[in-house]
Amino acid sequence: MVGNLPRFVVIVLALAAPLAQGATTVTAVHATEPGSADRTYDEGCQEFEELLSRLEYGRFDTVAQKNVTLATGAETRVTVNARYALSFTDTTVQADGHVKSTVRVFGLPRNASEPVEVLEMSVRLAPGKPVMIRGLRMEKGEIVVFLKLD
Amino acid sequence: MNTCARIAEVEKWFDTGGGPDDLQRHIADCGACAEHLRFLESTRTAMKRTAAAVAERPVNADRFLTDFRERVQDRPQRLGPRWGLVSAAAAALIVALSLLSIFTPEQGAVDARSYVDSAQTEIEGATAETYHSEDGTAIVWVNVPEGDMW
Repeated sequence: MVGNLPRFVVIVLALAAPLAQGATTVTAVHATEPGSADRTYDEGCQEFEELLSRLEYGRFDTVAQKNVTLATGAETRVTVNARYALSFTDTTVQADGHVKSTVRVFGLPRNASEPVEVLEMSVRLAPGKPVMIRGLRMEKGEIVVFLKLD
Repeated sequence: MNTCARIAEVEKWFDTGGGPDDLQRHIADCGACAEHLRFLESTRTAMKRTAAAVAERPVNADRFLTDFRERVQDRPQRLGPRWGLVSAAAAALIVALSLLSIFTPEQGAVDARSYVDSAQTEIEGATAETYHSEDGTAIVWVNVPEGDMW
């Protein structure tokens, strides 16, 4: 029985590991044409059309849509485009079902060689309920990011 | 039916041997005591014969014990060593499933909103505001001052 103890521990940990993980979809939309009366949404961002319709832009193009797994004790990085990237750390699954994580948004300013931390936030994601990040400036328009726990 | 008053003396004499002469003479004259004495003698003879028959019956105790041991030792093992591993795996599975049932939150218990608990930015002059939309979506708005930074 003692000889089987390591195998037992491995089995338990392997089965318990998914508890601390959250499959999350990161969707980044490039919003342009401010003030336009016409609204255009590409296929990738139609899920968030209601939220995007409140912004003062007329064109919305999906620039990234990535499925990531947030895991306890690991950092998950997502590249949005050539200028912005996200980092998820300190991920935990709370007793009420929320996945808590620290999200950092790094941006590379024009004419800069090193990225800067544009945003650091602590989020609690509920399944199917997105968190929207807006205001990530681009040369034209801005990047809007949706984080949604699957 | 023995009605003689000296029957008890006859039984005592029969058990201990010997006896007074007048008792011998009484037995010769008393039909009841003579009949009882014959009964006692026939009973003793029968008991001796039965005891001898039991003692002469061949009892091979060694053979019996040898057969018994052989049967016990030759008995096939119903549980092989693989069953030990199967038992350990089953125990591990039960523990893992118990942990899953304990720590996996019920979907119905999940608060159906996502939250932004804190948000800040390192960009000079910028602010990070958090609020919920009318439909309950958590929104972070990074207000970066106008300029040619991005």
